[in-house]
Amino acid sequence: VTDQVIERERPVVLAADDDEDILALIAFRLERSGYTVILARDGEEALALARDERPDLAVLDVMMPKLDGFALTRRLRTDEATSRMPIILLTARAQDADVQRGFDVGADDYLRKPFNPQELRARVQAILGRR
Amino acid sequence: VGLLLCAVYAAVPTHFVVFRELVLYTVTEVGAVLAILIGVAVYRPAAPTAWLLIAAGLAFTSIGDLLFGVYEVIGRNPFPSPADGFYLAAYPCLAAGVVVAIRCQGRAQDRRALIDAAIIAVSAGLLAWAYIIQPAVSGDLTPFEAAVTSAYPIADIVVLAVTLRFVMGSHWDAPALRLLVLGLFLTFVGDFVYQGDVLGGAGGNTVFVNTTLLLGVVVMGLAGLHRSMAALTAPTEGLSERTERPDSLRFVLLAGACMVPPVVLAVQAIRGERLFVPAVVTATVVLIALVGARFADITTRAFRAADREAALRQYASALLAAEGEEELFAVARRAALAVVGGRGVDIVRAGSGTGRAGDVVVAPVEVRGEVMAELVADADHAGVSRSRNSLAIVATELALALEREGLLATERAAVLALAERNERLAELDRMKDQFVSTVSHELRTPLTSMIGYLQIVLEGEAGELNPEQKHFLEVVNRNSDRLNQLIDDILFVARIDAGKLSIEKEWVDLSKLAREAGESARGAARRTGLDVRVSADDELRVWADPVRLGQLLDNLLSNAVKFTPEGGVVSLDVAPRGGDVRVEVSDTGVGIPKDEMTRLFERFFRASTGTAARGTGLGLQIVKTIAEAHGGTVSVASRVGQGTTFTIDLPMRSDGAEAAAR
Repeated sequence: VTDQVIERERPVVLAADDDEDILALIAFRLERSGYTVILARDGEEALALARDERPDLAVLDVMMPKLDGFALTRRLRTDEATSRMPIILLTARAQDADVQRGFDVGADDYLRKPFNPQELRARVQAILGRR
Repeated sequence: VGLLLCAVYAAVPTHFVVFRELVLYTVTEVGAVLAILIGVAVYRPAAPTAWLLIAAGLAFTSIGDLLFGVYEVIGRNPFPSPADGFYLAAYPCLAAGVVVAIRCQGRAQDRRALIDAAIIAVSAGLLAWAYIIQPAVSGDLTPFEAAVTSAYPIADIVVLAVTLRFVMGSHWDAPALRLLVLGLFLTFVGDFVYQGDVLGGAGGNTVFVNTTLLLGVVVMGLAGLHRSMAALTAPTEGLSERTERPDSLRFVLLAGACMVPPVVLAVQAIRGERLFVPAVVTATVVLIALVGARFADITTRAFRAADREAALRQYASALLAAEGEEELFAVARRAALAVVGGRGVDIVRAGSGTGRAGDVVVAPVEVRGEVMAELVADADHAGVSRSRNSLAIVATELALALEREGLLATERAAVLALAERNERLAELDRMKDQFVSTVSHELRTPLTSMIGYLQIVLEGEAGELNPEQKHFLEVVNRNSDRLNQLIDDILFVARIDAGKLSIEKEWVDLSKLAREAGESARGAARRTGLDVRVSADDELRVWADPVRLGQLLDNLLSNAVKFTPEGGVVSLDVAPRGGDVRVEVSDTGVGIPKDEMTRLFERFFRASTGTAARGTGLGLQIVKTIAEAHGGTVSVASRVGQGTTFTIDLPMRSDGAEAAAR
């Protein structure tokens, strides 16, 4: 596997959530801001998409069927192809321990649900703009 | 009275023959017989035969004495006379009485006593042969006279042997029995001295002899009158299974008895008399055989005792290793069989009815006053009567083991129940956590869509809104925020209830937190035209959880904003105060009635003055919990219509701060 950089006109963001409405919300907001958004409805689908499409960033819900956000993040980090992809976790959980756990498994940022779509956009831009 | 009569008898001069020999002697003897009969009637021994036989013996003696006295009075002295017949009949009665007593006491199997009595009787027999029978037989008597003369010492030795056997093998602690034994010995001594005197030709000491004999009769009569007389035939505990205790008196007696043959031989040799070699040799051989048997008996006993002890030791450890009642019973059964030497015992559980006919209960197995089983045994088996003590130990140890087993079972059940309950509680705890997590997720997911899309619409991303639409959607948005806050508060309180509120302390600048809280409160305050003033300029470091402290300030401020009418002022002051810091949140709001102050921190309580305001009723509880988790206190002062001030005092450093500060 070579560390080739795929040149694309628009950065690609992978969004994973089992809730269609939230998925559509993320897609709407980010598409408007100039990103290509690919969608996954569960953790396994997200993992497959991340490997196949090599997105520039992933927005992952924590509570997902098949593979939850923490486990998915850990898997993405161990896979060489996706180990350096920035990840933003979305969590509806209240416990602060969950936030810590998210960073422990390798997430770059995290956003509590409910979130302001503008804030999500700002964080995505902040991370991708850094590059 | 009897003793008095004896004294009188001894004191009265010999020439008052009629009075002395007939009246006094007969009255005394008849009195003794009556005393025994009265004793039997009054104390009712279980087996009266023994006493009746002794009484019969005394009665025969009495008749003999009466006849003898009559001969003496009329001056004739035939030999043998009918009196001798009665005298000789008396001895078997006395001996039979004692034998019956031995049997009734359950002592028939005591080999030691039998052998010891035999040893002494043999030596006494040798003496009798040498000094009484031999002279009589060798004298110029007719065969009939010789036979009658020899019959006395033989009868005496029989009584002596039986008495010794009784003394050595039985319980004779009771006063009545001691008196009886004393009486029998006095009779023996009197007889022997009399016979020695008569044959030695020195008839002078008849007063002593007769007084001794009479005293013996009186003592036996007294024995019959004593209230302990029934002990003669009372069954006693089984034979002691211990090896013989050293009893020096008994051994001296036995050694002395064994010395008799050589001493007789020596005396005869010194006096130059004829040597009774066959008699001495016979006696010696018999004595050696008896001593040999005695030694064999001692050795056997020692081995048996050692075996029993080993069996009991093994039993004790086997009981410890056994588990469950059935196994304990099996172990005890094996031990009981080992103790008695193979057969004849069993342990029968209460109510099982499997015991064999003819078995007797040796020992009950009692657990807390309840007979759980019985150790039964074949009463005729010699090993059983020998091992009664060991069998009782087997039963007692089984009872203890059963009790321990019961306690262990109870404890095991309790431990199991406790573990189950703990498991259930842990499961409930997990379910609660799961529930909180699920509720949190399920409530927030729809709220995420609602708030997210509202934001997009409000930002004009989905087309321009007219002012009215925008206003209405802002109302929706505000209430969505409230709903979100409500969910947060409920989950927070749920966590407090579960004892899962985590406080992660670090050094925090309280002034900075206060400024941030004031900033976010201003957003809501602007809508109602409130002025939010924050006085927190200098850095104020406290050891606290920044998230929780921010939550506390937010709650206090949003409360103040909610309950303060338009144009009012909400102020937040943060300042050091001694070793503490003081946080004051004041408003110019509606105030709280005095009688409602105490209920202020109750869950879902809302003051009557705040009807127009909306809140969850959880905010102050959260404030109080956070303050107390930091070692702080909350107080409130309020005046209806003028405003309310909440004061939080927090220690700058609470637990662990010292270590972290270094």
